[in-house]
Amino acid sequence: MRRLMSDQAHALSRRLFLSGGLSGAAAVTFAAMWGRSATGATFAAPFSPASERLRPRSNLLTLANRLTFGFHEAELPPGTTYTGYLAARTAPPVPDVPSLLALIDGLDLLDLLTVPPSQFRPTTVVVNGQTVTLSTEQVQRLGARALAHQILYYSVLSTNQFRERLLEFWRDHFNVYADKSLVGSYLPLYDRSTLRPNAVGPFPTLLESVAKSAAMSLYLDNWLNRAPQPAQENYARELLELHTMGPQPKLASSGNQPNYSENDVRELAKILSGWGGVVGTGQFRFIPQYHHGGDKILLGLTAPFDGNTASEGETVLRELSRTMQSNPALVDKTAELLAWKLTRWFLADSPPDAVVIAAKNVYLATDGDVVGMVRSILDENNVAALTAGSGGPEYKFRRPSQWLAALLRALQLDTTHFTPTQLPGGLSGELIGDLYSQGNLPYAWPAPDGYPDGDQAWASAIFGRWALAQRVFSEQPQLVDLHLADGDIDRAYGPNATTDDELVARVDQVLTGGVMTDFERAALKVYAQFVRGYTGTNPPYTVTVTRLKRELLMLGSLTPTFQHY
Amino acid sequence: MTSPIVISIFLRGGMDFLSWCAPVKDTYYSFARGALKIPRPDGSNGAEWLDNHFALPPAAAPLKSIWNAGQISFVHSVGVDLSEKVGSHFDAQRRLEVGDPDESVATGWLARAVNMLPLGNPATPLRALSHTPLLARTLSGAEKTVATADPAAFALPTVGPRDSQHYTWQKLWLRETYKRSADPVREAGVSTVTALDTLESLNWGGTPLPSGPVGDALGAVVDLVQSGIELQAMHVDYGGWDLHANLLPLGTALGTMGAQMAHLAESLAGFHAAMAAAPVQRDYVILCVSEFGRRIPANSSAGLDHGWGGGITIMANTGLNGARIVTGAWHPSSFAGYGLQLQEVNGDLRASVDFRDVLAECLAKRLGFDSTQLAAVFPGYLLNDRGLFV
Repeated sequence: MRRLMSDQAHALSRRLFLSGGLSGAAAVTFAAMWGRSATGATFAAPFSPASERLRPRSNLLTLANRLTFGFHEAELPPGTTYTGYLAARTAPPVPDVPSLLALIDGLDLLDLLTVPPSQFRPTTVVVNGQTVTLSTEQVQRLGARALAHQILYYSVLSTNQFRERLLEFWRDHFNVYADKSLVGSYLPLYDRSTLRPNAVGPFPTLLESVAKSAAMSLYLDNWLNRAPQPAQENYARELLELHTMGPQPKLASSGNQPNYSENDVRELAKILSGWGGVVGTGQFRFIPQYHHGGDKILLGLTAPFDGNTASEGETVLRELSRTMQSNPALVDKTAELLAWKLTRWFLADSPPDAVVIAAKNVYLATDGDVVGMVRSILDENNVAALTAGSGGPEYKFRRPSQWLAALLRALQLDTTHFTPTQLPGGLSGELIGDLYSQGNLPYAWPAPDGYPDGDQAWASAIFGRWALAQRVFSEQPQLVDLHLADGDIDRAYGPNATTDDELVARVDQVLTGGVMTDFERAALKVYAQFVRGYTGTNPPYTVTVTRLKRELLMLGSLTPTFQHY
Repeated sequence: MTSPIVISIFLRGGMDFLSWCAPVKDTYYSFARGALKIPRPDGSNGAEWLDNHFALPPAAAPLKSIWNAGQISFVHSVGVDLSEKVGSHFDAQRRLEVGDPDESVATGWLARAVNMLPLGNPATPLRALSHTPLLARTLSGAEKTVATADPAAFALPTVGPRDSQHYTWQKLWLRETYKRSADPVREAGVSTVTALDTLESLNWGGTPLPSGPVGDALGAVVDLVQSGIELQAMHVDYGGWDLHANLLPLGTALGTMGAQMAHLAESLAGFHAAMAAAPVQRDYVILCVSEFGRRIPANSSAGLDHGWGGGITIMANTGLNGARIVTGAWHPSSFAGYGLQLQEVNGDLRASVDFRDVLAECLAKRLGFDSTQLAAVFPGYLLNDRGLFV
């Protein structure tokens, strides 16, 4: 048996290799490949790596992939124009469908997504007939877990896909960490009241909202920044380094001088002393007796910093984020950092200077209009340029959470597919647990810089999605919160796909919009033929067409093409 | 001969080295730290003398016997830039991990080192493991390397038996498909299939070490060594050191930093004992690094803000030039107990030991790197021998 397996495996390996050399793989039937396996030299055309990279996509398909959590078939009817789609997708948010809101309400057993932070305290609940007492920490964990579910479901099912994409960006830009003590109690409040209403900007409003949030104050310790003790620098430093100006200019044309000094950090920490005291409601509070009086000199600002009020901090936030202030160099740097990061997020891992400059100018002309910046970044010419380079198309690599959302969107699942279950001690959800083990759960990145953005960081985590795909597409239910029935699989293929060519074409269309490489399609066909021809005893079953369809969709979701958007 | 495994443990957030290898006889240290100082060992408070000036905090006491055996050293005043303070976590971490303060290279220092090491068996499936959900920059670019925070779970869930035909085909399918992709996806995909073949059949969990980031990772090293895999490098991330607030009680396992230090010390000691007792023997060098140290005076919230000079801890079962404490330009025991104050710049301990001094000496003496190879790992750097290794 071992011997046989090894021979068959070898044959598969060789076929896959050989088919890679064919430009019109679909023209070669499996029968021909099988029949000539002993004289494989027939197919041994030199393999050209360049021809096998990602296939160029239409500008519209790429746009749809950037403004949503992934293409799905019904969303791009014939006649859709690039500019029309861009305008519609970036229009102001509308109320989400009631079934989505009901799904989230149903999973949030303790209403942790809506109650005030003071309700995060020891709680007795009855779950499945058992009385369970939860500690504050357990309640905080449940809140973070419910929030992670909510974020996943919004990513897959919300009609406001663009806002969800922006929220994902802000959760990194203004990262807080759920497991830092106390932060957990204020986390749902942070997501629903600080980030969500301000997700589409303008940036100065969002920045001030974050600066006055309890979650950020707790996360970066500013609530403990209290005179007469020496100032506490944690929040002051990250406000300059991560939230606004950045340590150095992003554009070469802006020079390479540091944007601020260590002394600026120390002075800003004094300005922010007494700022952000935390009370049960999470309301912002300034405590004058904790504020460092006296002059502070920083960043070339002319405003007097000798008062004993919260307005010192507000002045700095304004100087850092609004135009027409006393030192316009500051907002210039903030606009540059934000333009650069948004370009990387929505367009390409290596942001082109010209695109960044244009987006920065939108910021400066509009006092921080985020939506306008994204529209500028996703101008059709910029998207077209992604396929113009000699190194092949430059598409973004999906993070684990983006991969999962894209897969569930491609399959066009509705709210009835998600069944968050109730277990003693808390909610369980394996999709969420899986994102955690892949290092990509919301609010689970400890450091203030947020999850990395770029393929260098995430490609190494590819194993996790291979494992999750096996579970998602398994015939036997393997996940407590999602199971694809045979009917779901049949629906994805439609009524007319029966031959291997047709099955593979549907997998390609459903998942990617028909942009898999020749090799990926040929490899799927080779796999289908092996499965159909399987007569062994390990595993000891006959392969059904439904099972084959599941395995093809699973492998399709693991193609390099589907990892990119 | 198989070279020693190099294990880098990154203490992310900026570890306070002044609490880890504490200058308890320095009068200025005691004054500036106030309640945050590590006490002088008195036989009952749990702290342990290292020499006649420095002491281990109670939480790190398990390291004392390794110190006595001459297998652990401490390097103070380490920095990524000796000319000025780098106060940003991310700047400092990046410079350290790529091994170049000028960042003229993008791959990790340990990755470049691994790629140059000879292999006893060229077909070895796994050269390095990043014990992190995402590949650490330290190992970015290393051949035959995967990232996982749970190597024992590095196996695809299958409906049928693991040796089933379908499963074999699927792995082949993945290998062939990813081979034709572009880097970094190609390298990650191919390495993952290769590592799967090895890791999914390994016997895990033979060596229980303290549960947590360091213990779990070092336990996996023991298991990998026992399986005979020619692992050459491991990277471990241990975060949570950015302790701006609420450090009390300090130095015992009860406080935040004390608990962090206790896990590190207990994991190192557990690994030391497990490797000494294991049937398959292998040389190793552990380098515990961090992006910077902390400010000498405490801040307003019983915490410590970002400093400049930090430290590196080295543990090795062979090849160490005795147990030593290196302090660079800082002369701790002179100046009537005010040595630290003389090295203070704006509240920070001046960095006077280039981090590459430690890493490069390790590569030169323990892995036999010549000057050309060293230059490839640390561009533009000339070895400044601190006498840490033989």
